[in-house]
This record gives sequence, structure tokens and C-alpha cells, in this order.
Amino acid sequence: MKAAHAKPERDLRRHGFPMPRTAFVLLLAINVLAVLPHTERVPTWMLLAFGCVLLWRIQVFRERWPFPSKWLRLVLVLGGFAGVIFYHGTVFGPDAGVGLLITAYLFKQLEMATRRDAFLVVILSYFVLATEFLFSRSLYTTIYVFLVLILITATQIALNQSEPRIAIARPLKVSLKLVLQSIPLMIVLFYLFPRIGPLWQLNLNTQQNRVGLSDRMSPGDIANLSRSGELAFRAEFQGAIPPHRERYWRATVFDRFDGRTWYAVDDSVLVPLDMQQLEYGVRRYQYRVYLEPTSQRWLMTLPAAQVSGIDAKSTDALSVLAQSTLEAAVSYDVTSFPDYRYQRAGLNRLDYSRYLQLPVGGNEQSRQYAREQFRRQGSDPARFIDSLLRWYHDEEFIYTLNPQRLGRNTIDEFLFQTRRGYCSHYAGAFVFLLRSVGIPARLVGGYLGGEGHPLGKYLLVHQYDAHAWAEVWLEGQGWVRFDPTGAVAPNRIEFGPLDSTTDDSFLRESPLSPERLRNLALLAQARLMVDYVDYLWFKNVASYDTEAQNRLFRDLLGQVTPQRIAALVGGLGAAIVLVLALSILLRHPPARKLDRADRLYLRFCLKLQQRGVARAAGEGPQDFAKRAANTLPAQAADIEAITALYLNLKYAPLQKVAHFKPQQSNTGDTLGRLEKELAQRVRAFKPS
Amino acid sequence: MSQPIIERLVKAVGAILLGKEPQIRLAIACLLAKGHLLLEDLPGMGKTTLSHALARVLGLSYQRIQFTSDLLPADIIGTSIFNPGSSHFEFRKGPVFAEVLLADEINRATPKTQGALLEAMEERQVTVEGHSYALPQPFFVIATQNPVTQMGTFPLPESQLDRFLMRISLGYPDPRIERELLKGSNPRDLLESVQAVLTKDELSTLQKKVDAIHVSDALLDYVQRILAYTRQSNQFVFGLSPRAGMALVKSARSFAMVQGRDHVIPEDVQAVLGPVAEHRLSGARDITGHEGERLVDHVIKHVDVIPRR
Amino acid sequence: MSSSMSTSSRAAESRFSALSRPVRARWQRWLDRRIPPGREVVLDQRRIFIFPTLMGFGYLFTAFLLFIAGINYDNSLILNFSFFLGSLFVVAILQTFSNLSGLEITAGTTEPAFAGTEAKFNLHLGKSRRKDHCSILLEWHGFAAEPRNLIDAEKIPVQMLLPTRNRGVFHPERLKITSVYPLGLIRAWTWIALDMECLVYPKPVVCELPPQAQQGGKDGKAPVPEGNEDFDGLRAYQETDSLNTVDWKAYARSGDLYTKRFHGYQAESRWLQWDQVPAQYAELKLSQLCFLVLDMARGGTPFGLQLPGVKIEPGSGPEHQKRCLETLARF
Repeated sequence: MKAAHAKPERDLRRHGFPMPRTAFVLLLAINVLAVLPHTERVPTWMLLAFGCVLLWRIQVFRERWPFPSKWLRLVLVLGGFAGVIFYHGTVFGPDAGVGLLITAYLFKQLEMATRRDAFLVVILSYFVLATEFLFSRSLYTTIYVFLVLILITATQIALNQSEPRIAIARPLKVSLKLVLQSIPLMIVLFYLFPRIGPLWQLNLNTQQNRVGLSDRMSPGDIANLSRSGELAFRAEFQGAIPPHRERYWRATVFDRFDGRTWYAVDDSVLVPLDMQQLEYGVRRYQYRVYLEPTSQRWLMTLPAAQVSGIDAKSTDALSVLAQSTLEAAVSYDVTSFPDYRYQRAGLNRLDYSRYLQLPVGGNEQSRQYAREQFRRQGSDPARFIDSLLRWYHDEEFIYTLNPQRLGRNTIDEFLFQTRRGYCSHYAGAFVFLLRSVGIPARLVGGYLGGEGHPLGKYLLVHQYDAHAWAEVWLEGQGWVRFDPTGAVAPNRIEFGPLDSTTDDSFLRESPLSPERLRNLALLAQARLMVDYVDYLWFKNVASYDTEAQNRLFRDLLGQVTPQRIAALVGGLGAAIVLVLALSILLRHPPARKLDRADRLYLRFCLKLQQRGVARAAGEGPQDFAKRAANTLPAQAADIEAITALYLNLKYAPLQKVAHFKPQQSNTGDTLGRLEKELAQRVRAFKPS
Repeated sequence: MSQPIIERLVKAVGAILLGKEPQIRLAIACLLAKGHLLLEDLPGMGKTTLSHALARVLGLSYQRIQFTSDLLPADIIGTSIFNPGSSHFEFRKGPVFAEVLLADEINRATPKTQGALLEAMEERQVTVEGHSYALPQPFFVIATQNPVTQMGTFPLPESQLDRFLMRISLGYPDPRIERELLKGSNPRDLLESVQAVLTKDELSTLQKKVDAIHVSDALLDYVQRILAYTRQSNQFVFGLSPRAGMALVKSARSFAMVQGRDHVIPEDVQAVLGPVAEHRLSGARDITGHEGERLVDHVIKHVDVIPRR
Repeated sequence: MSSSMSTSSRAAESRFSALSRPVRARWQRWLDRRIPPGREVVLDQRRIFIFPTLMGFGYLFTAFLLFIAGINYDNSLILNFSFFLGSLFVVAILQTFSNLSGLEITAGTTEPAFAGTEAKFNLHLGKSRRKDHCSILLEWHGFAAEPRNLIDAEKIPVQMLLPTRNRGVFHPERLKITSVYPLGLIRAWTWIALDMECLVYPKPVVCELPPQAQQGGKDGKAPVPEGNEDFDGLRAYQETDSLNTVDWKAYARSGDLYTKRFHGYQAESRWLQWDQVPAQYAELKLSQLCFLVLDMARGGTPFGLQLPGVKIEPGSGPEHQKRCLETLARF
């Protein structure tokens, strides 16, 4: 046998620790996998640095290169931090934070010499992995995170097992087991562990470029958006789902125009909705919106909307604003009144001037055209609007995602030269024309439509559903929606963007986009299925918050008191831990199984022991029987019979055992019968 | 059934050696297992009486040798004597050519002489001047010895001690029996009246029956646990050898038969463990060679009869 | 290697003696009650202690930080991440515990050592339940054997080398069995008292063989007139001589009867005696006797050993040597 003397672990720590190969491979894997989802958020040079560091670490492991010196490491880390700060321009916010975290994570590799270092890398992996949830909360992110968690756990196992070389499957198998065992308790904690509000306010401003509506709109902006198949939000309806033409999801209102770009109303100048001026109408829709992060404050609604379940304010532009920018997905309940009337009584002076604002000069041809047309229509706003829409329809306007670039006088060029445009072109020009003749009008940004889902009563609204339309204030009617796009491409309003362009420009740049694939029925089904699962995930898990928990507590407990919550959480948690403990600790059968006769005999001994007659370890059954019979004379017969049965079962030759039941030739059966008799006698044995 | 005969044997010997039935049973078991017997005790404890009585009840021819320090090997196995008449060497058989050899105070002889006897015991034949002479069948040696601490003795070497299947001590009689002894006549005088209980054929039948005594797997497990314990425990310098293990099972079989059973139970093993193992074990704490007994108790106490778990 | 070990051993001892004596005694008593000594110990819940490692605390802190982050960012999935870490910690507690429980430690043989050298203790690790035990660390007196795995094997032998200092019977302290497997977050450990001891012979100290031990006849034995060991010669046959001693071959040749004469050797001749070794102090005397015993045994000459109150008859061979050394060790 090999001399078993090893240096104490203390020494190992000092002299470096022979990293098991399996653990090293797993560490590399989790490094890459933890950083992978963040690739788009970190500068490219960091990815390069990451590759170099991994290469260096591999060479260290192969004992080709030494670890970098302490000074070099310091320079690298500080350089990395400086680079990240320079790249993001700040040390605050999730992006910069994640960048710094990844930098630390990256360079920790270069000093990963001891078991403790390796453990620190594991801990940092947890952080890097967890930050991914700041950016995405989809089911698929969660699945990815858990798969990496299994690998991280396997890494820890590989670090803590003592064989220098093991197959990678073994730690993975153990890890999978541990992770699965952790999940029930995790679920209970997730749903029942009392949630508390944020301890301090955090500024979550990301500089990240999100795909979505922005607070300014130049010609062509929305057209770009239309090439994205990303999900904007989901709306889950109770009761009827509005028809396609009523699905005007309002985000914000653009009031200011500089001749080229429209600007959204500044949030700070918006005053709360004037309830006096709002008539609700009869019909209503009730639904819940699950909104993806937008980095804007706008909550998508169908006006006029009453929002609950989130801290929000309704503005007199009929948009709804959240308290802060939405950097994470949110959900809220909405009641909408599609037949509303607003500000029928009149606009105040401020609004009047705001919705008539135009740049001082420029687009003279358009202004000229508007004035002429208005005069020709007898200065009647309704007839004027009608004539404009007819003009859009009759002239050779083309609804396309690929409008030509426009120069200085965008409206003029669009209306009289190119005549190719997307919704923002038509709506923007329409508002301009109205304002030129003194009719208050505004551009509204949001989404139009939404894809109905066969599995749930909800609509999927994607970025390509982004839309711009116009609202005009008419005397006696208040704000009225006009969608000039409908005059050019009626399908857009009735069915959605697909096939609604009057050329084939829709989503032409992504040949593999869901929109192309939608033609393939099977894939379409699969895509909807995937989305449905993600929807359920978001609805039930990712958006589970304090309020949802309160609802759950009410459902489960009736009356919600701290005691009841404590009892529920404690009880359920303890039950799960107990089941877990039993299943882990008692699952394994004894290595050596005791013979049934021995088991029965030991039980018999136990009964006697309870009467004060304990068998000594070295005491043979016969000797013990004699002693026991002397001590308990009343039971002597039983004791002797049981002992005789036991001795015969264990020590007598088979043919003699068979003599107990001579008619039975099969000794196996006889043994069984004797065992049964022993069992009965032992069970019946009650020493007094 | 063999039982009445054995009981008669026990009774016949018991009539001579009062109050020593357990030892008598062990001694009979030893002989029925075809083993040689070593009786060890202080002088005057009845060793010789027991050995004589055993020889007589078995109905075998016997010879007695009083071992002394000047006893020569030839005095035991015999010598070739020159016969001037025939001008040939003739082998004059020594006392070893008997069915029962009583070797009294074997440890008084020199190791060389002891060696000659022990060799004969092992081989069951004697070789003199290149000729082999088979010893009679059956052939038993019943040796007696004084404890080695007595002066003027040559202790039997450990390697030779295990030629004896059992070593039995008689011990002092209990007071009631001793009173009988004091009242009555010398048991040795009664020896003459002892009649053979067995014929030679009956003896060999009994010996054959020993091998038919059933030993179950459970019992072998127990024996193996005992052997393993003596080997693993620090209490012993050396554990029991495989040969000792075989002797243990054989003795237990024989003892079970003496007890009137056709199978061996753990108590049989425990009963013969002392006689069989004591002289083969030496304890770690044992300097004088006389803690064997305590050690056997230790083994019995620590090896559970019923396997746990 | 040995120097580094002895330093760490001293460190361990000084750490231990830092506890005040009554506290230590009480601790030992408590341990003895809770984990009684035995030759075969199966670890169960009464015997296993559990506490997080430094890494375990680091891990818990991580979980806590993520919990705070989850709350502050109002991000239920980050919160869930921290709950997962917490749950995994609970599972790790149970698994680490389970990794030790059911482990069966059996005391084996020990191999005696000379004071100052390492004594070998043989142990066996076995399974009492059908499950694996991984990375089991055995530590005794601050010395660790390399971690052991019981994965496919039912039972594995482990040999521990423990340095000895003083002659006598060496009862090691409790054996510490530790494991942090699988995640390294929890340390499960136990102290078991194995019913094991090891003889420590005196450290041999070189000295001259005392002159008295060298006297004697052939091979240092004094001849005695009567005996049967060696042929001494022939003399004329006398009536009382045994026929077995007659030299029949001579008779066949010559027709005269001669009796063979033998002499034996007195068994006590070469003695190592307490009083005859040069040293003054008992321990040194024993050490020198130890050296002499080894020296004599190497030479193959039979010898006896006489200490105050103990006497070992002359003999030779490894068994005799062992007996002598044991006597010196226990004296």
C-alpha cells in the first residue's frame, strides 16, 4: 500500500493546488457561458481580452507559461476598469456595472492558483450569471441560466473531489441531482418568501440601445423598427378582444416639429388627464399588459385607459406614464373605453398653440397646397381632412418600408416628389398640412395591431407593429383619430403590416425572420407555441411581485396575518426540507442485508431487552435463552420455542429442517414456513 | 444413535474424575475428532487420572511415558538393536507404538525429545534408520504438562503446540467435590475398575460421524468473524492461522456430537474456542504466555454471534 | 517532509493545550459519552458535526447580496436566483452529512515503532449502506492522510503514519474524519475514538555489550553434564544404562557394549541484564537494552533479558525479539 501521508491542507494552500483537470475544463466552460449572453453589452476589445486571458490560463494549466506577475496583473485589471468606464462614460448603471464585474471576473482567471481562488471565480460566475436577469427575464434566459448553474455546481463538485482525473460525467451527474433536489425548496421560497419593497432607490438608466419607439421621430424611423421581429408587449384580454382596426396602442404624442423631426411631448409638461373633459362611452375592454423593457416611461394602452397595478399617471395627451423609465419588464391592468370623447368642450390656449406649432419656414410648397385646398373646401376642417385622405388614396402614393432619402424640406419632397413612404411619412405630412391651415393636430406614436394567439386570449404585439397616426381636434368632437396610412394601404389597418405594403419591402432584410417563416404552417405553430410558453412564464413567474404574492396569500390563507404567513412558509419549508432529508439520508439500503431470521431474532432480543434481559454481544442464542428463561420463567416456553426455531433455521441441516413438515419435500418452502412461524411467534411474544 | 454411547463414556470417566464433566466432554470431543490432547495444570489436579481413565474407557492399548530431562528420543520411538544371533539390526518399538500414549509432564524433556514425539504425532509414523514404521490406528497422544513457569521445564515451542488439537486445564475442584475427594478413596485406585465402554469399531464409527455433523453457512460466518477478529485486533501478536480455523470447526463438530446434536451451534464454537485457540494465540500484553484464556474471553465477548447490519 | 510534519503537529498540540485543562477534560468526557470508543464505528447523526466552511459563508453572503439586488431591482428572477443558492445550500448540508453518515471505520492492526519514528496504524473504511463516500479526510494529531474515496470498493485500507515520541503504549487521540464533499460549503466532521494502541519501543541507543553477557561455553551456553543435546562420547556399558543409549553400531562392529553419553546445555547463559548496561537513567538503560536486543537478534545468538521483576528466558528468532522489545516498551 502506498504511504498515505499527505501534506496538510494548509501546505497545499501555500504551495498552490493541483487543479483537477475536470474542474479546470468546467471552469473554462462556465467562464465562457456566463459571459456569452453579455457579449452585446461589453466592448469588443473586452471579448478579445477575454479570449487572450483564457488562452493564457490554459497555457498556465499546461505548465507552458507562468502566471503573470503581480504588477502585470494590477496593470491589466486597472486598464480593464478604465476601459470599461471610458466605454460607458460612467461607473453607474447596470451596463457599466456588468462591464466592471466581467473585467474582474476576467482577470481573476490570471491568479486562479488555489482552491479558494477557484471558489472566488465560481462566486463571480454567480454574479455575472445573475446580472443577465437585469436584461432579460424570458423563460429561455432562465433555462439557460439554470443550465449554466448545473455546470457551476459541477465545477464545485469537481473542485472538491479528491481524485486527480475523473470523467466529466460524474460531477455533472451529481450536480444535476443536487440542482433538482434544490428546486422544490426554491419554488416554495420564490412564491411564499415574504417580499419586501426596495431598500433604496436605484437608478437603472441603461445606455443600451433598445429596439423600440423613441421620443423623436424622423421620417423612416418607424420603417426601421418594422424590420424587427422582437416582442414589444403582450396584452391578455378578459372578455372580447378588440378587432384589428381598434388596436391603436398608444405610447406617446409628438407635438413639436422642426421641419424634419417630430419630438414627443416632454413628460414634465404633461398635465394629468382632465377627468371633467373625458366621456367614457359604453364599450370597454379589460386586459393586462406585459410590457418588455423600453427605457421609456410610456405604458402602452388603448385610450382612454384606466391603469392599475402599477404606479402610473394618466396625462391629458391620453398617454399613461410610469413613475420611472422601464428598464425591466412590467405588467399592469388596463380598462379601456374605445368610444371615449375628450376635450369636446375646447382646448386651452396653451394646448392650442402647442398643437399648432410649426417651424418658421420651410416646406413652402406643402403649406401652399394646404392653404389652397382648405380654401377650396370652404374652410371646413372635416371636408378638408376628407380631401387630403382622398388625395393620398388617389395619387400615386406608395406605402413602403424603403422610402427614398429625403433632403431639407422633407414634407415637400415626400408629398410632391418621392411619394414613397411609411406610416410616419403619411401621418407626419398629414399633421403638418392640418397645422398649416390652423387646425390643431398631433402625431401619435405607438403600435397598431397585434397577433392573436390561438392558445390564449392574448395579443402579441411586435416591434414591427410600430405605427404612427394622427389626431385632430375638431370643434365639438374633441380629439379624433385619423390614420392617413389607411388611405394608402387599407390592409395595414385591417390586418397588420404583413402584405400591407404596396411593394414587397416588409421585413425584406431578414430572410429568416419570423415573418418569412410564418408562411410555413408548422414553424408558425412552433413559434406561437414557444411564445405561449414564454408568455405563461412571464405571466406566472417573471412578473410575480409583491402584489401577486399578496393575492396568493389571500387565496391560500383567507385572512393574511404575519403569523399565518410565517406558519405557511415555515411549515411548507420545513416539510420540504424534511422530505429532502429523508430522501437523501434514508434512501440507501444497508450494504449488508440482514437475514430475515436474524432480523426476527434481533427483534425478539429487543423485546427481552425492554424487559431488562439484554443479550450480550458474544452470547449465543441457547445460552441467552437459558438465562432469559431463568429470569422470566413465565415466558420460558415461548423463549425456548423461538430460540429453537431460530437455531434450526440458522444452523440445522436442511433435511432436519424439512422434518418439521415431513410432507413438504421442498426445503425452500419449509424454510419459508419456518420463518413465517418464527415471525408469528416473535410478533406474538410479549414478555411481561 | 451414538448418544447413549457417548453419555456412557462421559459417565464412566466422570466416575473417576469427579465434578469435571465439561472438561471430560471436551477431552472426549478432542479424541473423537482424532486430535491429540494436552492437559495442562499444576501437579495433583488429576491430569494423569483423566488421561488414564480416557484410555481405559476407550478400550485402547496404552503406554505411559514419564518425561524427564534425560529422556532420549530413542526412549520414545524405539531403537534398532543388533541381534548377534541373526547378525541383523532389529527394530525394538518404543512406547509410542501404542493406541494411546500418555506423555506425562512432556515439558520436562529436552526439546529434542519433545520434537521426536511431536513429529510422530504429526506424521502418525516413525522413521528410524531409513525405515518407516506406521503407528497403530487409532493413535492418540494425551500429554500432560506443568505450567511453564515451573522450574526445570522446557516449554513446548509455539510452532509445536498446535499439534495438539486442544489444551485443557482442569482447575481446582469445587469445594463440594473436594470434600467428596477428601472423604473418599484416591480416584487412582478406582482406575483399575474402569471397563472399556467402546469397541474399536464403535470408536471408528463415532469418529466418522464427526464429519457428518452439519455446519451451516451462518456458523462458518461466525467462525470467520472470530478468525478475522483475532487477526485485526491489536490484542494479539498473531491472529489464528487457517489451520487453527480448521481445528476450531472440527472440534466444534465433535463437541456438538458429544452434546448430542447433529449440527453445530455458536455455543459449541464458544465452548471449544478456549481449548483450541488458547495455546495458539499469544496476546500483545502476554509476555508469559498465559493470558490466552483471558484473550479468548475477549474474543467471545467482542464477536457478535448474530451479524449486525 | 518529516520536519514540516512535526512542526504542524506541535502547532496542533499547542492549539489544543491552549484550552484550559478542565475545559478539555469536560470536552473529552462529553465526547466519550456522545461518541464512545470502539473498534468498529459507524458514523451516524449522533456522531457527525456540521458547520459551514469559510467558502460556505462566502457563498451565503453571495446569496444575500443577490437577494438584496433582487429586492432593489424588483427583479423576481434575481430573487429566485438567490433562493436557488439558498436551497442548494440546504441540499449541500444534507448531502455533506450524508457523505459521512454510514461510513464505517474499523480499527486494524498497528505496527510497533521505535520512539521517534513513525508508528503505522492500519484502518479500514467501509460502507454500511449502499452509497458512495467521497473525499474523506482522516486527520490524526494534525496529520492528514490524503483524501479517500469509497466509490466502487466496499472497503479500503488506510494506513496512517503517526510520529511517536515516548516509549510505551501509544494511545492516539481521537481520529478526526472530515469531508466537505460535494460542494465545499459545509464541513462535516467527527472525532472517533478507535480502540487502538500501538507499542512504542525505546529508541535504540548504541552501547557496548556488557562483558558479563559474553561469558559461557559453546555459543555462550554453559555445558551441563547430563542431557541429550550433543553427543559427548562413549563409555563402557553399565547394567543400569538404558538399552536405547547403547551404541548398537559399535556393538555390531566390536561385540562390546558401549553407552553413548550426551550432554545438554543450560538454557540460561547469555543474558542482557538491567544492571549491566552502562547508562544511569532508566530510560536510557532501556534504550541501550533495546539496541542490544536488536544487535543480538541480528547476530542470531540466543539471549535472555532480565529486568527488575521481569525475566525472559533465552531464545532467538523474530518472535523472541519481538517479545523482548515489547517487554522493554511496557516496562
